[in-house]
Parts: sequence; structure tokens; C-alpha cells
Amino acid sequence: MITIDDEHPTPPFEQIRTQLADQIRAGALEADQRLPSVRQLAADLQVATGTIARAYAALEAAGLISTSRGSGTRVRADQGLDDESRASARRFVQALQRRGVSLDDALSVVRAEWPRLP
Amino acid sequence: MLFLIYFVLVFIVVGIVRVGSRKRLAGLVVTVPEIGAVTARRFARSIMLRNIAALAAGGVVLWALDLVNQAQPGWYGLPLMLAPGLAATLGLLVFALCPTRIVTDRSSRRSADLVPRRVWSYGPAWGFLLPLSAAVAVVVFAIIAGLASSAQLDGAFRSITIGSSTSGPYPGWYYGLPLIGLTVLLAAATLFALGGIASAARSERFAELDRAVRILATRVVMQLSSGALFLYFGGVLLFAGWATRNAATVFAPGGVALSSAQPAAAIGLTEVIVGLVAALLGGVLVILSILDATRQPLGRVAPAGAPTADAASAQQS
Repeated sequence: MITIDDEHPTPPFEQIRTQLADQIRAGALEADQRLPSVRQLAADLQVATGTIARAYAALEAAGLISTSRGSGTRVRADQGLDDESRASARRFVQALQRRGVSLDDALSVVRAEWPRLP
Repeated sequence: MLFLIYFVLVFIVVGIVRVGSRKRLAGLVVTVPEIGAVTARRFARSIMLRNIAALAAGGVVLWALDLVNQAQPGWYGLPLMLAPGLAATLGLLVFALCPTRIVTDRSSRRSADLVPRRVWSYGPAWGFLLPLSAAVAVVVFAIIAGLASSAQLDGAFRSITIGSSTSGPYPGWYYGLPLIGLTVLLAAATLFALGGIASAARSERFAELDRAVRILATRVVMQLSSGALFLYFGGVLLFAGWATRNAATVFAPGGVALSSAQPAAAIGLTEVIVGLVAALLGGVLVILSILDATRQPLGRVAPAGAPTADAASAQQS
């Protein structure tokens, strides 16, 4: 399931791209899983087909999905993080949620800390 | 008399099928929350109108082709043979070209699930494989019958010759080539209509109603196309069997069969029996499609606060 919010400052194409990328990396979308067609997703989210096509093109350029005429759009193999990394992320999220930290703040902390560690 | 027996049999089988599938059909009647009742009713009405328009278009084609058949005796019943398939094709095109969706206010937050909807997502596998196999059987039969046929004096391949005896009308190339074209056309219209059902926008707020409508629409499309296919295939098999049996049998002046060439006579009899069964199945499926097309997917309206399937799905999204 993905959700877009018109009131969010991020453009719809980027919201779609980010959520799909997150789900692929988190393993919620498995390798070789077929994604909905551009037409279906555009109709359901009530956005232009070009918006979905742009998000799919960006994901394809990042190597997360592949598109072919015969088999549609599928998640590429070995794009998800390993189980240990996901478990670490879960523990981190649980700890921050207990402290009442928001998602945006948590991501800011990660971005700030990331370059500091070797 | 024969037609009366046919219709009685069709309605008996339809009755048995409907009683047998009562529980499954009850699952397709959806309870909606009171707050969305007006929208849901408007949607259900538009679905019903679309279905009736598709059936009416098919009915008009049947009537028109019957008139053409009467006005053109020199076409040897070709319009009548094509009538069920052409009527179903036009009905399916009307069905596909009048897409309906639940119109709600555009929310600023909208969700979509990531499960692809395919043309076969809303029906059992056998519901698609049976008519597909039947369509292949029609094409194979038309080719075999074309190769077995012989030309009449006007050059049209519409009779069969066994030994020195010739009989017709027989579904040779004169009937077979339009029959193959019609089958391809009907398959394409069916795929087009199923594609329209699958790709229509999904309603988050009325997820259960949306699912029920897609399942019902798929049933209507598959029953109508399969019914039409079996109807004209049954008819073709009947007159093929009749002609084959006549050509393979030597009759005395009083009409009594003296001898018959085997296995042609047995093949003819088999074609007649299979044709009768196919025509019966076709009639049953067409009646079932009409019943499903006029079926109301919207059940009772739950009072505010009462739990309903669609209220639950709306809360989840």
C-alpha cells in the first residue's frame, strides 16, 4: 500500500518513488514481485499516468525495478537490506518512538550521524 | 415444440445453478455504511444502467440480424449463425466503453495497494479456461469441417459429400471462415471488457463494494461471451451433424434409413448430441449473465456506527 498527500511539500512523483524504494529495501516488496501497471496505479491514486511513469523510471534507473514488455514491472533481485540491518532499524525506530520522536526528526538524526561515523 | 423443450430445459438448469450458488451469490451483496449510502446507490444504479445498455445493444443486434436473415435468403442462414456472437461482441463493447467508477470527493490523502489487477483476477481459473478451450475447439472444428466440405453448384463450400450422396447446409468454408473471424472478434471483445473491469480505479472507501462489482462484472462478461460461443458452436454442430448423417445414410422413398456409411453416420450423430448439449449450455449461460447483469450488488444500509465491511476497509486506509 502506498499513500500520497497533496498537502505534503514533496511532489507526488517523489512520494511514490520514495515509498516504493523504502518497501523494496525493507523487503516488503519481494524480489520478482510484479508491481501494478502505470495505468492502474495512476487511476487508483488519481494522478496523471506520467507521474507514475516518472517514479517507475527513477526506480528503474536506481536499479530497484525492471520493466519489460512481456512481464511488466518487477522488483529486481537482491535489492532488499539484509535481515540484521532491518532488525537494527526496527530497534532504532522502537527506541525513538518510545521517546516520542517524529519520523522527520529521526531521519534528520540519522542523516547528521551518518557522515560522522567511519 | 423443440424450442419449447429447449427453453424448459434451459430454465430448469438455470434454476438448479442458481439454487446451488445461492450462498456464493449472497457473499456478493455488500452492506455499506449509512454515511456513504447515497454515493454507493448512485454507483450501483450506474452499474445497472451500463449492464442493461449492453444487453439492450446485444438484443438490437439479434433482432437486426434476424431481419437481415429473412430479407436475404440467398445468404443461406449466415446472418442467423453469426447473430449470437455478434450480439455478444457489441454488448461487450458497450460494457467496456461505459466504464463506471465510484465517484467520491477527491481526498487530499489517497492510497493504492500494490497488487496488480489482471483480467483473470476476479473469477475462477476454469471460468476463463473453459471458454478459451471452447474457442480453440470452434476454430479447429471450422478448419476440419472446411476441409471435409464440398462445393455447391454456386461454388460455395456449404455441403458435405459422402460417396455419391451430398447433403447441406454443412459448415464448410462458406460458414467456417466467418465463424473463425467471429470467434477471434468475440475473444478480443471479451479481453477488452475484462481489461476495463481490472483497470478501473479502485475505491478505497468502498473496497468491498468495489470488489463485489468487479466479481459480478467478470461473471457477466464471461457468462455472456461463453454463452454466445456455446450457442453458435452448438448450432453449427447441430447442422453439421444433421448434414453428415443425411449424407452418410441411404434412405428408402418413404424416408426410412436403409443403410449408413460408418463412421460418418456415427460422427454425425455425435455432432448432433454434442451440439444439443452445447446449445443448452449456451442458453443457460446467457440467461445467467442476464440475471447477474440485473443483480443489485448493494445490500442493506448499516446505520451510523454499525460495523460494515466497507466501513472497516475505509478505516484501515
